[in-house]
Amino acid sequence: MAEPAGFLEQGRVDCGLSQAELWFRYFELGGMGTVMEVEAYLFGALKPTDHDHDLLAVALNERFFELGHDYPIAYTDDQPGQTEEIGQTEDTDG
Amino acid sequence: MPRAIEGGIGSILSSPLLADTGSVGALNIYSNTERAFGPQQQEVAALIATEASNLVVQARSDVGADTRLQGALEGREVIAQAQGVLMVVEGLSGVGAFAHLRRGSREEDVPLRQYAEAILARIGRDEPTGPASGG
Repeated sequence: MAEPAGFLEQGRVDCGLSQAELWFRYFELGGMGTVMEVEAYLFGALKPTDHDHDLLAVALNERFFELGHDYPIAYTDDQPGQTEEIGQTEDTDG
Repeated sequence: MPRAIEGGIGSILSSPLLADTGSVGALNIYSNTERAFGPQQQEVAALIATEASNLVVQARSDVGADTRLQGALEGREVIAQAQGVLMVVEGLSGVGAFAHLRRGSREEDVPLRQYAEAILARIGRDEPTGPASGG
């Protein structure tokens, strides 16, 4: 499922995780990327493998769940509409 | 001080290492010249002391980080073991096994690590490994 670059980073910001904290959670789930690689994934400088994307998505979704939300970050095998939207509610981008 | 003078020390500049919780040490700089440290040297020493304070605080927090790292490594092991079980029992690839864990944890609204632990426990009881298999 294609997503715009920065979608993971937006999720990270929305759930209040630092980059280091996100990397830690990703690492705990089995992620093999370095802190810098994860940072590059977040900002679109590197394209994560589907597996790395899903590891980061799990890490973010678990954080959202801890905060009482659903699972807003889509996995690579999700169908469109299967997840709720994320993003700043006052975002006027466009 | 007499012993310091006898040892050839002409002046000492001492800068405290301060953290939010109070003093964590001091940065002492010695010179064999009397009155060697003027305002500029004191300012530079204060800057170095600030950086040193940060390092000391960071080093102390790293002790907690070690504990967290240990927990993370244990989590990785649990998840890897559950993936291995799923690869054997369900005939999945490594990535497929992770997707299985991901879907199961989502369906049961539990962290993936907890779901992986449950799978390992089920294997121990000779029960199925699929999502929601236990009702």
